[in-house]
Amino acid sequence: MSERTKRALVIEDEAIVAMLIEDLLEDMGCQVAASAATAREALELAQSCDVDFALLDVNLGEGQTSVEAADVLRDRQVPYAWLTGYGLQGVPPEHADAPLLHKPIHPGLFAAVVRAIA
Amino acid sequence: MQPTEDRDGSSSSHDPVGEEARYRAIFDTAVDAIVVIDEMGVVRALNPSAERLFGHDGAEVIGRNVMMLMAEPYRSAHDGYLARYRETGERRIIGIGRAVTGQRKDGSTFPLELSVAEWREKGERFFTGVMRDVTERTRAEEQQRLMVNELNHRVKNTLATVQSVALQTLRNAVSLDSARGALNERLLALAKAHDVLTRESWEGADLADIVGSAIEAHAAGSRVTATGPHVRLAPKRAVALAMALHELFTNAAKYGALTTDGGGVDIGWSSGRRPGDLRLVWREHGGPVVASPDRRGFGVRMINGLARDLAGEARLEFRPEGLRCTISAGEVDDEQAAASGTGT
Repeated sequence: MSERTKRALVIEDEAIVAMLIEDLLEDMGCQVAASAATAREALELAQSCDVDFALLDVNLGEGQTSVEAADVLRDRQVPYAWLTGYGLQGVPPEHADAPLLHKPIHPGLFAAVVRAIA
Repeated sequence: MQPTEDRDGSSSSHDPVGEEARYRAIFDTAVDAIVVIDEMGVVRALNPSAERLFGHDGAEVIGRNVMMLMAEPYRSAHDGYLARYRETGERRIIGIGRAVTGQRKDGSTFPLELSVAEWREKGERFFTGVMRDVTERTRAEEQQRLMVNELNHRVKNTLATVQSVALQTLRNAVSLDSARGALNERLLALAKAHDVLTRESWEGADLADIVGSAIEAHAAGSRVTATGPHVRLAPKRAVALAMALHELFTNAAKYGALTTDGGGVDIGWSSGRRPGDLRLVWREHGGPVVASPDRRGFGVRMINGLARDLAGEARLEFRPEGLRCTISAGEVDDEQAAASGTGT
């Protein structure tokens, strides 16, 4: 990572887990520039936000996912990583090359993935 | 059981019970479907269970190729299987059994468990297939697989929630002792929220139940009012609300309106036309003048997180009469809001 503070988009439907991600990012000197809990907000932010990278929870509850937001981020060439309690399940094949982080979060792996994509 | 013509009488003369009659009784009463074919695949006999299973009368099937009872790809491949077996003797199913797909008279298909036995009589070769409809079992297995996946997902998410609560509690603690107490209370609050959800099979929770559970947990019944309409919350929001209320109660009992004899809390909420529209107000009264808490504290973050979860916003005001916390999402009916004591 460069000296500049890296800006992150965080998509996570559970508020408490979102706080954890925020803390881990801030510990690494990153800033959460935008965050969303629903697929609609996620898509809007994916289209408009000015960030260096994104962390996406695959499953947003009630059948919603972050996949459409990921499509937009890929087109905009914003690097992203998946965050999930499911394993690879639910990540569509065309997004399977993005890094995958599991819940609960291993801080070391989290830091390595963020450094790799940010 | 003999598929074509009558047996000669010699064997029955050695068998007083009647071998033919004995097999016939099994064939006719078996719960499993039984179909007998010759080596060219022509159906020579089928039992009543097979007639029921496939929806055909025996007469519609006997004398025709058994592939009429199969769905693709088995239907097209079956004649080839038989031919290969006649030529090479290579067994693919005989004596082994496998899962296949059957087809009923009405064209619908269903999973079948099939076992095949081979036998010979008077120089002719026959195959007996015994079949069981495993639709229910397949469905139950699929259901179980989904439930195990869902359970695994929830367990992992819950562990991540606990991880978050624990790390934040330790991060903000002034001492190990205070962290121990706060962590215990937060985990118990999380468990209480799960109790409410478990009662409703994790399909959601009534806002009033989450509020009621928090009031009970903090033994604050006589000093707290709770007013509002029936509102359903998705599981994750119910958990977030329970945790936010826990923080508000803990704060009120330590620094706010629940520290004085005359103090109390009014909790009111109102809903709007759209499902997500909600305004929830926590209003303390009769307490000491409160100072603004740490913005980075777990309680304040939890309240902001809940608001974010509801796609709304949170406002914390430190008024002379006590703390007021307002969480609003979408448009709410103001009359209703006023009626529930949240209008001003």
